[in-house]
Amino acid sequence: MKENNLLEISGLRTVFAPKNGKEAALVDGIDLNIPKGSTVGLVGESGCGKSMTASSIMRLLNPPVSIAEGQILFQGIDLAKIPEKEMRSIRGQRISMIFQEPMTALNPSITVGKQVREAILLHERVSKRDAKERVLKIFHDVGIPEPELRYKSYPHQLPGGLRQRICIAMAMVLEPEFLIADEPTTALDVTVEAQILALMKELQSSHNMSILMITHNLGVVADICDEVNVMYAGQIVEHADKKELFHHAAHPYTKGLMKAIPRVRGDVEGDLFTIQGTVPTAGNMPAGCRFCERCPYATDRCRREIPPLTDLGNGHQVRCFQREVGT
Amino acid sequence: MTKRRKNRQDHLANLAGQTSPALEVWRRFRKNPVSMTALVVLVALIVAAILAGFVFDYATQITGINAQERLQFPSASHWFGTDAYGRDVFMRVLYGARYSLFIGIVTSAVSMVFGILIGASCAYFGGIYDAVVMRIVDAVVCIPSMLLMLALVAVVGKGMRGIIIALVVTSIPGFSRIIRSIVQNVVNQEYIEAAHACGTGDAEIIWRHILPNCFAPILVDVLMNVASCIMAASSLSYLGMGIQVPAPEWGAMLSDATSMMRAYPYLAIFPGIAIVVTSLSFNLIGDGLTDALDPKNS
Repeated sequence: MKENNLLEISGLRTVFAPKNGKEAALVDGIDLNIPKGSTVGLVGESGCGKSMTASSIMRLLNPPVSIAEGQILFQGIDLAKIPEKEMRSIRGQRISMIFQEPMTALNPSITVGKQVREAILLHERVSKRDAKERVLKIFHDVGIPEPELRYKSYPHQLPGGLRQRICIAMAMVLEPEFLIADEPTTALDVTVEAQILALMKELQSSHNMSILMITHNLGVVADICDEVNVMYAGQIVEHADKKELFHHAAHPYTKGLMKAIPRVRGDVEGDLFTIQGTVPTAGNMPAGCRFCERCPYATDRCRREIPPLTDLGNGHQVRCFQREVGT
Repeated sequence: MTKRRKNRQDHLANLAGQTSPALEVWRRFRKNPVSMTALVVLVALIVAAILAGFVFDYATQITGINAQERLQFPSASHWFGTDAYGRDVFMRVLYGARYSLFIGIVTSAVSMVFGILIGASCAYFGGIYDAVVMRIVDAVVCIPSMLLMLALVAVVGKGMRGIIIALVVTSIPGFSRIIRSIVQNVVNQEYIEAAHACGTGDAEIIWRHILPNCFAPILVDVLMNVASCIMAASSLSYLGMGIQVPAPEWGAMLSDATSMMRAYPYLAIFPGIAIVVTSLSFNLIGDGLTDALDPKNS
């Protein structure tokens, strides 16, 4: 394990293995490093295994889904192997998670203050009063107006942006070293999204934590990430520094994603670019490159062999035989 | 204060986070005149049933024979008339509420506890345990409930104990099924996953996060079940398998009145009305609560 990495995933395979059925890999042998104090993006369209990767790190998988192979090294601890009890003490305290839907990620029958307070009481032996003080402080830190009043609110009484701030407060209150954000702004409108991203950046630098930002929105990546991993059909197809990726995207899939972003200036005539087809479902993967059926540059070789992840220098890696094409 | 201003104030209080979900539900429930009427009737009935035990003397007024006053039609002195033994039907009907309410509430509460244990564990743990338990439940549901109750009473013996055991056993399968689906619904919510992600343990998740969010739909179901238990208890007594005459159980009174129904219809009408009103009010309260619990109706 490298010194400056907080988390190192190697060869992670998460499979769906029903008792009487074919095994299908949802996450198929990914390597992923999270350097200390940086934000790493995990990008891809729905169903490509982004959230499964997050659930694997948190070990929130329900049978028949389980980790089949691979290591998830977190500060020297292999999260894929440790017993559930040990994992439970890591969850929430050292690694925490923000979910996509702030509407449904909070228990509707408990006031938000108590929910956040419970997260503290679960892991630390402190009095309820001290815990409440800390909740009010974190509410203040995440920009919740009138924390005292909001402490007693129920989730349904708060707007989406505030609810997401509560979720962030809950994830941050124990000052974890690592935060997984699973599309934290997808359910919010753009102005609130910008506020939440700004908040996350601010909290990251003040607490010096690492963030794994899962998103399908390249705008979010451009805003907040240092490094980016593009995921497709359970594999990482491209990894690069943010600037490198935006300027020299090498994989046809990444290029397709970039072309699909509407431009403020530019061609407003005609339809927005789309990548044809859909992600192949787990268990029905093509023999060769997983993107070959949707790739405009695909050759016979692409359909036969799985391309390896090759290094282009500067830590830019891509899984494509045709990496020179179209640049 | 005008109604509009009142609503506005409620709204503001709501925004300030001063109303709990329970208060909110009560506010909506209050607006439903039918359910509120049912609630008032039921509360009156419960008070009457409790008082009846203190005010009336069971041996003389409820079951004692008074030959001079037999078979009098309803009048100012005997509101519901008197029966073949000269007993006041009004007093007997009021006293009978004790049986019906007691049986209905106790059996529903007991079967709810079993239903929660079975249904919640099935939904939470799933797998083979769930499959086996649910198939047993299905098998029990297949047996016509009246037949099952009669068979159970035959085994356990007539009377209060027999009725309660028979009703509990026949109510548990239905409860387990419904509670299982309610819990399953909640288990799949994201906040349960979020709770796992915070490092919360299983017991804590079931107790703090799942059950409180299942409470409302389960409560509605329990109320509906009380209504059907009251009907079933009276049916058993009518068939002579439940509470025995001369106890003033409504079903037993109906059964007693059958032979004289042509000449003295009031003997059957009043206990009949009592059964209908009681079970209907539980049903209507349940209905009103269902509406009040639906956030779309706010």
